Amino acid sequence: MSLKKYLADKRVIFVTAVLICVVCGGFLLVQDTPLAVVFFVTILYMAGLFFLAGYDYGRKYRFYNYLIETVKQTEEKTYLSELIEEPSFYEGQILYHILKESSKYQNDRIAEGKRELQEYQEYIQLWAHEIKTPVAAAGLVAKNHPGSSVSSIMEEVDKIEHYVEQILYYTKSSHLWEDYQIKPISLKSVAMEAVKKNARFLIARQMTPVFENLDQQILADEKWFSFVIGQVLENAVKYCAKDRPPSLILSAQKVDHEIIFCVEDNGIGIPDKDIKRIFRKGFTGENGRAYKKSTGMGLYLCKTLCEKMEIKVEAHSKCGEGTRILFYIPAAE
Amino acid sequence: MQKLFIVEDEEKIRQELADLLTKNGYSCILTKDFENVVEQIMEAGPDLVLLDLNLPFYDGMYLCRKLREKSDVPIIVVTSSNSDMDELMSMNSGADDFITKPYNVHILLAHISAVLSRVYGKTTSCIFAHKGLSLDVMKSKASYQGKEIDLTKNEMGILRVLMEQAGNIVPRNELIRYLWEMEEFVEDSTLTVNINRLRKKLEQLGLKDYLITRRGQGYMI
Repeated sequence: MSLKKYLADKRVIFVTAVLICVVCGGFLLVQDTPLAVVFFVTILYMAGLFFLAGYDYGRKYRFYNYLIETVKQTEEKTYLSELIEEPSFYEGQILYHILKESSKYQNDRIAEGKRELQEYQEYIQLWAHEIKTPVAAAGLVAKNHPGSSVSSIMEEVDKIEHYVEQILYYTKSSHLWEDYQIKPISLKSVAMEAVKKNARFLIARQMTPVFENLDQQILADEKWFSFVIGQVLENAVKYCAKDRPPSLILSAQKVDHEIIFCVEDNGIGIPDKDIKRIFRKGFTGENGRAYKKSTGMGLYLCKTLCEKMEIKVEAHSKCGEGTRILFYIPAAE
Repeated sequence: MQKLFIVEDEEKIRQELADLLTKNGYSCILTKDFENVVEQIMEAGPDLVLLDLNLPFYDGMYLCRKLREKSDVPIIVVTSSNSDMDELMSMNSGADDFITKPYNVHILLAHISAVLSRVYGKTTSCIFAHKGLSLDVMKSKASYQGKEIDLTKNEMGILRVLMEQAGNIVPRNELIRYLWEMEEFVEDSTLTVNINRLRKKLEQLGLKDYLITRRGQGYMI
């Protein structure tokens, strides 16, 4: 709270008061009142004015400054009304009560929204687990009654499973879930696990992975990182170039305390104008629109899950030549 | 023959799982009564228990603990939830292993045979037989009329899948996928080479035209 602005705000009152004082002083002089008396009365009057202004400014200064400081320092701004005391002056009291009421309403709404979101997420998790039972049953039936149409159906069932995983990890990526564990894991085994999980799609496109230098220990959550690699592999399959034999290289190198893990394909690549935005939620870009099957969730989830695991992700691509997705993962010493 | 007790409330999964495990040389005991599971297991005396976590009447975790109080029979917990918490809880309840649904069939078989051999020693051998040819998976050997031949890892894998599905055409992609599961990430042309080698080895045993090519569809025995 600044004094200058306070005075500017009360200028009508001050100007009126000073004018009254001058007019009264003049009137007394005209009435032949002794100069000393005139002097005494105006001084007394002005002193009273300054005292009242000072008192008012002091009260407001204390309350509003405390309010401003508290707002600055509090992260949960909706709890502001809990942190301030009721002031002694009237306008402050009005503001105080309005704040109280408004933040109570806001907090109730936030709590309600949080609860609804949590219930919704719990339901999604439950649903995702429920659906795994029929998927498992389908897998067993397929295994016991093999045939070419069955394996084609299984390819579709794999896709269902893939989408179920995606929604499961989407709920897990929210800040309300903290169900991951960072520990030393083998990059090779997590990469192979992801490849095996996506084997049907890769084999259908005759995409054989090449593993280079993957004998590294990284710090990550195994299930999460396997899912992340799976999303990248799925993109490699989806956007592979039709006019040349596909290639897929998974390689790693150790630089200081980081493992740089690279998944490289020779697919259709990503246009320059899109590459900066591919990790955004719901972004489909030129390729996504052309292929019509993009949800814009895959890479967004990669980024979000990786951020939680403190892994940096980068995409490099030459349109028409291929894409490289780089992960900068903390190395396990 | 080793006896497995399957505790699974989903009828279709239970039945198909039993079919599959029977094909792979295990005998299976099933139950539809989930109120007295522990008693039934004690009575049947299986070599291994496959236990689902979501069951009517009692939670799988509870059954696992109850069973542990009475018996040391190996238990593999099968669940659709893939949280670390469930895994930890199962292990603490005395389970020997943990698999999440939808499991890959070969991985399930591998886990079962791993737990069995850990508990009962290396005596378990998985042997397939079809039209006089038998395949010993542990020794990676094929034999026919007293003659034996060693197989490489890939050849063994291919023959195993074909024997599991004897009489059915197995698509090339399925064969490749199985080899990938064994962490042999072969490409299409490698499969052709492996198939040809396998065919030559079978001919050496005196089995001509045992492995049939169905053009555009796959292979069968």
